[in-house]
Amino acid sequence: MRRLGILFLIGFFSLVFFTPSFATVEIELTQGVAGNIPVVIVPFQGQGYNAQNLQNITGVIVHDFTNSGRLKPLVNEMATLNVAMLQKLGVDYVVKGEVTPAANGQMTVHYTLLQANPKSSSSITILLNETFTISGQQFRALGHQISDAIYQKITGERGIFSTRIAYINVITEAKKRYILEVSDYDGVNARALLNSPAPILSPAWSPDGRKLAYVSFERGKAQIYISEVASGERRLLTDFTGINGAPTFSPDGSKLAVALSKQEAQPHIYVISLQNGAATQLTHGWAIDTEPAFSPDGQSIIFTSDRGGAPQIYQLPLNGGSPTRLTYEGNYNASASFSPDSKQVVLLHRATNAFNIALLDLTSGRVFELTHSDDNESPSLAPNGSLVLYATRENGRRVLAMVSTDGRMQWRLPARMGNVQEPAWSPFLS
Amino acid sequence: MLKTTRLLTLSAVMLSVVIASGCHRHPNANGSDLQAKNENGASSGQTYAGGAGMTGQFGPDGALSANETYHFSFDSAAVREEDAPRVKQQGSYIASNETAKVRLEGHTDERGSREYNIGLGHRRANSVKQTMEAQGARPTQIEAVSYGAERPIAQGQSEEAYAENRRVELSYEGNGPQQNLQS
Repeated sequence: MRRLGILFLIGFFSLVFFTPSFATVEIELTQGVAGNIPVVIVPFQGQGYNAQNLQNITGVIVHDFTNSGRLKPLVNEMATLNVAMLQKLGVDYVVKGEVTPAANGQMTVHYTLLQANPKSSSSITILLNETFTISGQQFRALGHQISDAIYQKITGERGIFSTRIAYINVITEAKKRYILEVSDYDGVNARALLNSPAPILSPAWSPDGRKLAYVSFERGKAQIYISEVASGERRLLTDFTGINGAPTFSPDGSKLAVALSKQEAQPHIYVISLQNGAATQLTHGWAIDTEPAFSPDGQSIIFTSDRGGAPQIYQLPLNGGSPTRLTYEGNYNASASFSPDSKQVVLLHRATNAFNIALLDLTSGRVFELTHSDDNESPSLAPNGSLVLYATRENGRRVLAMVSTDGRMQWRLPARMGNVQEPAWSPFLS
Repeated sequence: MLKTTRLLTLSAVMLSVVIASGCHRHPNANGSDLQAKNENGASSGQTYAGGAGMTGQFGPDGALSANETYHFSFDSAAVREEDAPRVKQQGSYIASNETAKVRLEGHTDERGSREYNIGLGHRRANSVKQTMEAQGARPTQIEAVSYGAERPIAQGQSEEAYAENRRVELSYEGNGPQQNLQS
């Protein structure tokens, strides 16, 4: 690594930090403080800092850090920094960059991530040093990309700032409409994939992020469709008698696990091959079995079942064997999915009367509530396992919220018209 | 005079059937298909809203209604004692009218998992279906579907709203019992 040494040591007396204030279209931190790793962000030269402008690269990075649950952005408007001052403040990292015009109306964006050497007041290490050439409206995407690189360099964990989310926007004004939308992870750049007068629910991403499976009632009953995210092209996947619900892709993308009732009075878990459409029944009996989710290794499925009298989570190995019960705390557990490291399960949990988002630790069997309110539903984990997206209620309306998996921080996503529900976080897209 | 009454009854039934079958594609402004039916004079749900017990669920002359709603306890799919006589009467009617076809729509309150609620609504619709089949109705005459928590008729987070939303709605496809009175 190159050393900047004394070059960076410039006289500097007053560090001016801003508490970021966000436009209403942005995610809002509603509980806790920002992450515990402070990072100074010097506004990019040539563009400055504007939290209200969605194409302001400094603003995008500041938002991303605030939403990370790990990094704490400190905006310093001065172009120069003093290493001794940084050390005094306990700040190790500095991000700075420039935006300059390039040929053909394009822009060049350069940034560096610097680390103050804790052992020397005159030593700075360059951790990242990258240059990009982009056209006009790509500042936001590039900002997310830079945030991802910095987050991963500092925390060792992949960033989720370039991922997307799918959700259902229910317009209750005038005529009721159900709109399947896809947006950036932070709710910006929302785009409708399907607009229907009938209920839509349970969107699920394919592992390559190119397709969404979901349930639509457009023909008067629950049926499973698959849409291409890029083109919106869609096809009906299952049209069995009764319920066709709760689709989820296998980790290799070759199969869907679903809930089908066929002629029975309750749904059971099936696996459907996407190559030939063959459906294999995995669970049987009088109980409701639904909401299947694959383990990350694809070797087992967890699902919701009331075979014990109330909804609880069970695990079924796919190479044979019978389901074993995973949840023993709480009188209602549902909507479960695995963390990427397979050590935990995020779920909808009711201890007494309130529905909250919780984590089940598979080693200890203990359940930890991440939210402490009520009326929460549909938890969906970020692909790096650091955050849970879910639907909650605010002033009588459904809105999306996020909570860090350590439970310390909560965010609310931009409020829209109507109700926003059924969120699904995409896999990593690059 | 008698002819006019018959005609009116017939058109009311047909209207309600048209509205009931069309509402999936054309929900009304407040999103409640039940209210749409009420505004148009059909019988479904009027009983419950008025709290008048069973009487309103029956057509003129005490006949069976072509649209009925049965309610359920929390997380339960058992047909309630007070609903059982009507469910059985409908079952007998369907059994004795081979061409009769009904749709049973199961619904839940909004609490909990949406997909689990789809399962629960389906179980409720099938519970009513089985009671009707015990009266001789053929399985092919009854379609059981579930909307889970997706089509509440009562808004809000009160126990009263939840109780009203835990229901199975019966509707006839084509000829219903009131129409049959004419023949």
